[in-house]
Amino acid sequence: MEYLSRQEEMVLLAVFRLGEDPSLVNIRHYLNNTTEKHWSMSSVYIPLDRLYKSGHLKTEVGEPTPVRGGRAKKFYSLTEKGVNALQKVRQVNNTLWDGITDFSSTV
Amino acid sequence: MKKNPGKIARFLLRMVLPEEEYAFLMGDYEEELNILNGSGSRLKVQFKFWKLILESLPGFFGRSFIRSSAMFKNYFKIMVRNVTRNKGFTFISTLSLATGITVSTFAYIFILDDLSYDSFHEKGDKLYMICTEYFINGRWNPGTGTPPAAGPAFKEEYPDIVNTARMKNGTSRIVMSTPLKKEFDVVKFGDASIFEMFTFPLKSGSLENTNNDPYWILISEKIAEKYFDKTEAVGKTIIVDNTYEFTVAGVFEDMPLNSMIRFDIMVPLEFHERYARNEGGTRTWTNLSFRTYAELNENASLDEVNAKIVNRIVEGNGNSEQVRPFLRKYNEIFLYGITGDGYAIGRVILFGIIGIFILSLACINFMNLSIARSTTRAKEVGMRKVIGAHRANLIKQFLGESIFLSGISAVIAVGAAIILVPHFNMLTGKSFTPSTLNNTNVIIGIIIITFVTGLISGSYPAFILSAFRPVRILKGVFLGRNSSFQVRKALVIFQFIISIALIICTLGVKKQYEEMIRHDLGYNAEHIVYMPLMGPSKEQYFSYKNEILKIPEIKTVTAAQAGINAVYWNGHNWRWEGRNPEVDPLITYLHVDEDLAKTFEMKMISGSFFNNETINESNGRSGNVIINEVFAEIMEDANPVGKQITNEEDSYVIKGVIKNFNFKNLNNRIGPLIIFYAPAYYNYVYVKLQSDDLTGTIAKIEDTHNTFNRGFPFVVNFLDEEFETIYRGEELFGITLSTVALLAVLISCLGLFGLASCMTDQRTKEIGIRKTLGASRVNIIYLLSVEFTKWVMIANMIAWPVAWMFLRGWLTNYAIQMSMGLWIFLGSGFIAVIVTIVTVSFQSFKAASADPVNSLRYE
Repeated sequence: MEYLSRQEEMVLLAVFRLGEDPSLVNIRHYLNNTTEKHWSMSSVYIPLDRLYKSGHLKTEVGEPTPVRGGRAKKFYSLTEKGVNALQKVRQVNNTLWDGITDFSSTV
Repeated sequence: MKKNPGKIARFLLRMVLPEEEYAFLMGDYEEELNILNGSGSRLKVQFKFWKLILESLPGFFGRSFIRSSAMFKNYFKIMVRNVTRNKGFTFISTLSLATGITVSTFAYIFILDDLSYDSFHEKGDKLYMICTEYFINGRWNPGTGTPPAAGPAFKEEYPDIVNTARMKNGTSRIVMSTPLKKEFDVVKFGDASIFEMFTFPLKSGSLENTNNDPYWILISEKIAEKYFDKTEAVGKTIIVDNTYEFTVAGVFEDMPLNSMIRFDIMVPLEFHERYARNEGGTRTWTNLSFRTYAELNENASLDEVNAKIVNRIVEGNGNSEQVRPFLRKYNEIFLYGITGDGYAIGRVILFGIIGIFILSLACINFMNLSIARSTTRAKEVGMRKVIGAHRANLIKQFLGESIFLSGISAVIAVGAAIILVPHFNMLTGKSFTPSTLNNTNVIIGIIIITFVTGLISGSYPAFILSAFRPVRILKGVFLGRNSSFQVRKALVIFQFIISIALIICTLGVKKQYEEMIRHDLGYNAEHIVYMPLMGPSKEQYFSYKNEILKIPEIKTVTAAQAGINAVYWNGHNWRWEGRNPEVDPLITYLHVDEDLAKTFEMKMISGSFFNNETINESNGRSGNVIINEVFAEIMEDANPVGKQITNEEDSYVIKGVIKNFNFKNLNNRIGPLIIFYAPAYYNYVYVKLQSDDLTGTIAKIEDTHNTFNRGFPFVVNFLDEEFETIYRGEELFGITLSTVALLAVLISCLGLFGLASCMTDQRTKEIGIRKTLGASRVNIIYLLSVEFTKWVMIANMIAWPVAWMFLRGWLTNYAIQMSMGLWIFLGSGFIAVIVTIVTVSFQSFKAASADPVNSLRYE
């Protein structure tokens, strides 16, 4: 089974957390703030598109707004496959991190 | 505040974003812009927005690449089909592009190499050369000579100058002997501190070995291997000049090619006093025969130091302000010269221009041909658009095609470059190898060149073709002449302007070169061989000379202290009666015997040459001197014969005035010269031969040499060959230019050929009709050619002034200038017209001979 990449994982989690307005712009700003790294438009869009194509995300098209020059907005949300993938990653992570409090001694 | 993203932004995004997503992402960007608005100044907002766009472009582009793999098969198929159907056009395009890329690659590595000169010194920023300005003929002239005493004095007296190193100008060929080998080798006299200042690492040994040993010698790896094979050279002895025992203090790595300072053997400067019997020669202030380099303290200010040292030389030689030293940054000298006016930078720029020119010629060909083919491809464009292609897709397709073709041309070009490296070396005097091309910088450069070429060449079909409306195309309204014709016309004219200008410059440079060679040197160098004098042959010069004269084929024999065209011994402080106190020129010295004028067929203006001279023990010279015309003019004396001239130590009587002759490279204007009679200083003997059997005669000379100098290597040189090497630079420049001109003409012709065939194709019907109405073949050919000939005329009119300006500027480098005859320009124009007519005539002949029945068949 393939694992999500770190980038994809972060994007999926962001989509989940931004329940009200999970669009590209929002996701990008959220990730910028939480990871304190700069995410470019393409570094958010490409994983989103990939995840959509691979079935981890589904999309909904919203109403055009004047702010966007009259263009519609796309909203992303997790699919069941996406949820499963996230849980799997969490599981593996937990196993690896289990019991480590500091790195001075072996577990 | 900016409300909407600009047109450029939209265009860029449209290019790289997949069609379906374009709308959404565009909206996202507008939202982002909205958020940004109000976060700072308008400029900041703009900047951040553009950053947001640009940083994502490569990512989007890469993604769309991967996603459109389905279409690739089709694009590729169509491209291959195009190539095979238009083999001629593809061949011409590829050939032009390959040539352009090859030339650009060579230009690029040349520029990289020149720019890298002297860049490897660790202390680079602190290293300077001490240059001097001397006052002569009412002007301050800059030069690189410094007094021998300057180096140590400057180091001691100015705390900002941390270290100095001197080297004597020129090199000497001295016999080196070890048990393994005995040979003449080129030796540089200098201070070991050169190695402290400049980064020439020692492989073995140490500079400390030079501290207490007045007979130290430093040699390069190459020399160490020659004289000591694989054994360690440090500590061993080399016998110099068959007399002196030197100890190898260290072996240094062979000096790199891209360095102004290059030598293989160095011996102490002080040794020169003994070797040349020039007591005090390394401690005097009165001549400028050394090169001195200085290392400055990190915090020193150049202007301050220059101000401090400005009078030091004058103080040292008790003179009026005739010589001023100044410091010049060492690593700028190769490119920009000592005055900053430019030296090697000239040829860097030249090669850059050549590269750009040839590449643009090639691109123009490609563009022209693709424009010419646009009629056929227009239908394809129409069909694609009808089926649903967006303009962006078409742009990507055409650009992709041209970049791909460019890539293939690049592969050919690299192959050609590898093969042609030795020839390029010959032309430019560099020493590149195929592995030079393996450098990261070079590879990146080639990739960028290829990419940009493809981009530019393909821009016409990509942007103009893709804009066509399908309805118009499919209806067939698209045929016939249109504005694209004007574009093509302009492009071809531009190509010809460049080609013609290049031809003119080539002819001009070649003419200048020939003039310089043929110029009246003031003496006859034909049939003169020369050999170094040393040991017994130098001490017993006159017996040696007499023995040589006994050989029947020898006409005359004379001697001098240096090569007749490389006299570097000079000095100041000459006084004569009636001298204007401000006049103290730098005078060059030549020490010869009484047969100089006879051997070289030099003419005396007044007085007579040396004869029956007596030598003064004090200075080794006779009391008589000969001066040249320039000196007599400086003295402002119409009849100087019999007058006295003095310098600090001695006074001399002028015995005669000799007609000016060139004793340095022809580039320099002839300066004042004093000729002394001084056997102690003879270093070279010149022998004029008159023989049908050159080898035989030289063998006889060798026999004579061996009776005196058994054990010394016999080295003989031909004087007229020397001249060819002096002007090698200009000769090579001429060859380079003519090669470039030839390439330019070739590429232009290729382009013209393609264009002509296109035009004649388009006009087949017209020609058919004309023929039926009674036009003869000649009429048709004339009709077709006249248009192109007009174009060439226009190109000529523009090319002539451009080339004239370039030649004018280039000639100012030379003291002797050829006159720019009109025939250079006319000749080039004529060549261009002939070439055009010939190129076009192939096509027009074919067209003119065609049977009208065939061309009008489908009307």
